[in-house]
Amino acid sequence: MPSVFDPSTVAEAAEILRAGGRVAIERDRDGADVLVSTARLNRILEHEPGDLTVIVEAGLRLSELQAALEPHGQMLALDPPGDPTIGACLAADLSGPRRHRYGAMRDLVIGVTVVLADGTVASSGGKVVKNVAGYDLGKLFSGSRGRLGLIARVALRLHARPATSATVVVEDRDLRETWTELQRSQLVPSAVDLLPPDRLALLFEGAEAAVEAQVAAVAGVRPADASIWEESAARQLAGNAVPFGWQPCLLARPGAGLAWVEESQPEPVWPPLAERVRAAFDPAGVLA
Amino acid sequence: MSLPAGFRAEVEPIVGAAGVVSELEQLRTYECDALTGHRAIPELVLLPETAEQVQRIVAACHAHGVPFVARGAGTGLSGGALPVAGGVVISLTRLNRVLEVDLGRGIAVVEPGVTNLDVTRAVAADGFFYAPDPSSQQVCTIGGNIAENSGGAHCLKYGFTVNHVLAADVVLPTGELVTLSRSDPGPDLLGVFVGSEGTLGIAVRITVRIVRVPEAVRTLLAAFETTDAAGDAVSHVIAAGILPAAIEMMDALTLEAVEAAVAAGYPAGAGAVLIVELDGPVAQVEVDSAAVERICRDFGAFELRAASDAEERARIWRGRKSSFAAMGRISPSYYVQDGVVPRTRLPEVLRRIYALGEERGLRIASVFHAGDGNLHPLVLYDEGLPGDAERAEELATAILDVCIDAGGSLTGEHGVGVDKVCSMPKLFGADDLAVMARLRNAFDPAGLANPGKVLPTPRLCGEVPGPYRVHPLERAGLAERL
Amino acid sequence: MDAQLLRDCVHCGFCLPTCPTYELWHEEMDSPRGRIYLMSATVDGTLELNATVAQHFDRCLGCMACLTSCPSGVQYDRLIELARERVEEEVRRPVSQRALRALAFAVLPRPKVMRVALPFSRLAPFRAFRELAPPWREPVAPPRTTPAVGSPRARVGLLTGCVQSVLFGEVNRATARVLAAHGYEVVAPYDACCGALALHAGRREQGIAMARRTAAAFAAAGAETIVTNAAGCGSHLKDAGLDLPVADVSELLVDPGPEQPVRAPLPLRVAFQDSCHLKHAQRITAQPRVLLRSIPELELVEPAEQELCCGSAGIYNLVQPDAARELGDRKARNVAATAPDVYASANPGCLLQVSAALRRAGTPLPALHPVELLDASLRGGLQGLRRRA
Repeated sequence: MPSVFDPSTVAEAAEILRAGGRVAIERDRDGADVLVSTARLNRILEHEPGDLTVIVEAGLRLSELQAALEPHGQMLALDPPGDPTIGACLAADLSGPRRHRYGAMRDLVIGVTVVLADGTVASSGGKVVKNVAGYDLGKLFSGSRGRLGLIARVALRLHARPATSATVVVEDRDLRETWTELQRSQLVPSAVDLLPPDRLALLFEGAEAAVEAQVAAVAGVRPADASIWEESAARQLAGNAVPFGWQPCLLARPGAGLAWVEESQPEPVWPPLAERVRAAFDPAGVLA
Repeated sequence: MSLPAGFRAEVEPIVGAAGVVSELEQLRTYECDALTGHRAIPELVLLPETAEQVQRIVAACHAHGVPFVARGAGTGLSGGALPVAGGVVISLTRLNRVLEVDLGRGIAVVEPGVTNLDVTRAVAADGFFYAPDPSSQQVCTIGGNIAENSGGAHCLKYGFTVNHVLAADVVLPTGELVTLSRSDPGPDLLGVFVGSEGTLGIAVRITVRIVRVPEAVRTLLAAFETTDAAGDAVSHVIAAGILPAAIEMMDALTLEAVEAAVAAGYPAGAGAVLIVELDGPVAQVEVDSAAVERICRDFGAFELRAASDAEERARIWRGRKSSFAAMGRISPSYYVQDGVVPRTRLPEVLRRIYALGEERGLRIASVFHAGDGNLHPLVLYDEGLPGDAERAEELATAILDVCIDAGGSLTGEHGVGVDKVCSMPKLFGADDLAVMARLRNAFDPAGLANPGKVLPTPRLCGEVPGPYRVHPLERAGLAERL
Repeated sequence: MDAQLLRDCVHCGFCLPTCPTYELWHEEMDSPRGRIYLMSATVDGTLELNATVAQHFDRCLGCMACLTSCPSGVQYDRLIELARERVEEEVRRPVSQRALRALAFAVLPRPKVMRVALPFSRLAPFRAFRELAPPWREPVAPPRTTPAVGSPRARVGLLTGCVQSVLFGEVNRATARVLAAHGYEVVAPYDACCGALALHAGRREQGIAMARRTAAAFAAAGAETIVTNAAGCGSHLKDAGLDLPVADVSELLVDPGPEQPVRAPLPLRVAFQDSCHLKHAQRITAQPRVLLRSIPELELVEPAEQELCCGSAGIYNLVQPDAARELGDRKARNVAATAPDVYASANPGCLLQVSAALRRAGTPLPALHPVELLDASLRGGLQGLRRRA
């Protein structure tokens, strides 16, 4: 059984990693001596509503962040299933239906502070949306699943909450045809989800008049909004997301109480170049 | 400095005699990019025509230990394409084909030498466009855009190059060819590659996302008495939850230069002009533009115009897009700075910048991507006057310090290159830079790809690279340096 | 070379995509930005004006497209002119180049010599001459005086030119008729070269002297304005600082005056190609189109890449034949792609260059000056038109 640590500062987290042994971050692994939890690294450090940016510690739950942003009419434009931590969203590249419009977690991260296996603390980016100084460690850590280091702090780009939203479901035997037509149209759905075998759900958000106009432009059945998206977000997938066009239409992974998500599939194998980077960041294989 | 024996004999057959530039007079024309203050003559310039040739050249460089610098159109403003003494320049300008367009999947596949605007031209007839639009888009190349993670006026809404590159075949500095894709498992190496300023390899085949032209576009031009008033208007637009496609600001001095250059017909006597462009579904644009117009008037816009057709829209943008080069009309020389600050700090930063200019007796013209706090103060000087160039550079550095002090960054979109490399320690601590170096070494163990750019070295910047500055987050007790 | 003028360039590169040689080779040395950089280096002494540098100046077409695209207002036309003068004075070209230039300047600016030499073009020692020589010739001239229709608005002098007067004499006759129909009295007193070819190739003194002799002849004949129907000639005379005003025929004709002569329909699809010395140097683009559109039933189509030079560029297509051929072929492809009945251009060089390329591609087209189309329309219809191809 590994010893569990839950640091409340980045310095403490660095100490723990520096102390050595085989470390698992947030999720137990075979052979781990130490399990680091970010449960107490969960503060909102800085929210500047006028800039639409926020800096948080990685253990903060998505729901808590959204709750704090809501009074300002703002949100993190990410809707993965369950209630993962911000760090998990980045490390596991979690996302939901709104990925179609707003992008993945990597597209919303503007700065990051990480702790490497040897206790080195490093930051990149900052708190401005537009920034090309240096290499983007936020992108590097996206999808890194705890094997490159611990994600300690994340600076995020926010969006305004849309005024209103509505859902349309299209039924069609040949959904690829529908998808192609959708691509060519000038509709701007926030989410497009495939509900196998023959239904496509479209989410429109924005000013009331705009949403109404777009819904009217699509022929289809209109069920209650919330249930479709809960269904999509909670739907279990066997295997990978269904590739549909260039963006997988639906990326639903099961949620759980932990920051990490229980995976039913094995860890993906990283390409050789990624392994080379991993070896540079963790030569001793502490996080392997 | 000269090349290792056998290197030229190995690379010349790869591209043929017509692909090698070796006369001194010709090499001189490659000694700098648009940052003309830094010059270095390369040993050779190679002009491959295919991805395979690029790979073989890089493999030869790796085998012989020859450093290389990839170059597109040479319009970069941070010296990213500055040659390395003793090294070669690999020009990608002959890899200029659009290889594939697939509207159904919303993608285009292009070679790195294709100009940014040519991507849009390839899909415009079908009602699509390529969204990142740097002002030099008719000449800058996709390869260069990838190196710098270029933005452009419309990145406020549409994002940057990194958000529009879906995959790339990359020749690593070791000579290997890998394909990086957004959908790869594990770390987002493609996302790391975009913006790596030519230090992690050369992209030779790129899949980009193309976007459907929005249903409606409305371009507004608003004239204000002061930059403060214009800045306030911008803040309120953002606070109202509106996300325009672009918000650009130009100050009075810029307007003077631009009118002299392209006679765009901007309102006379304005202290600041805002260009706000809204696009999207018709009804959304109507709601948003009404709100924007109201806000502009509330903050004292004394003239408000909406472009009535595509030609007028083009004319409004033409002025903004040629604003740097137009400086040539009002000053013999100028130094472009690229600073970025949190948007809420913009008015205060501007005031400090103008004050600095007055203090030092140099004029500053400012152009900004007001929506995301990215400003381009242009320090005007005369290189014919002794000492003026140095004073301009000092002022530009002081401006940068103001930006960093306000919680911003060294560069919003022009890149670090060689221009800002010695200022990196103002933004990043030793550990930050060491970890970045680890990343770079994993891609380029031999240190051949664009050396001397992005990360400072003692040799480049001196043993103690600049005074350490306390970061605002540290001051607030919210961050530590260990 | 002028250091002040050179400093206008901020090295932004906006000129690159508009430069035909950059389009062809994608090398910095053969772009306006690169050429200016070389000029600066020869001025500050860090580079010698040698054959390597001169080659890049020689490869410039002088099309002035960069002038239009430069946001900093660099006077590239003046810079390349000065550069070419220095090359003429200081650089010794290879023997074959000197022979080629000598031949070009012996024949082209001298209509009498050209008329005699033309039948032997197939034996010319240089391939470029052989390829460009057209299968037609028109050594005809307009009358010395053409009276105006109605009361004359003014007396204008028509420059009949050198190459124009031997190969496109009908264009000159048509020009005189059309001007007369619009109320101008037209005199054509002068049959020598105006000096454009010389000046644009770096022989400034010669070019200016010839321009002055031209102006003197027209002044002596009582012309109030010199009218040109060749873009290169008009551009040169306007720049030469003459006492007489100079106008392109299209500039005059867009103001129809009191007599708007009746135009008969010409049901033709016409691909009009902008000439660099009209579009970039004289900034005349709308006027020729206005004139063509004034002809009933004429359909005007625009070939792609109008801003890209066809490669004629004075004697360029003789001294840089490979580059010129590539550009000519490209222009011909763009013209042919519009599926026109007629290819039209307002410069004899362009007409020769592109019709040679069209012939090479197996898609010959009648090559006409816009003023000839207008002339045919005024004279009742298609029957009067030449069918050069």
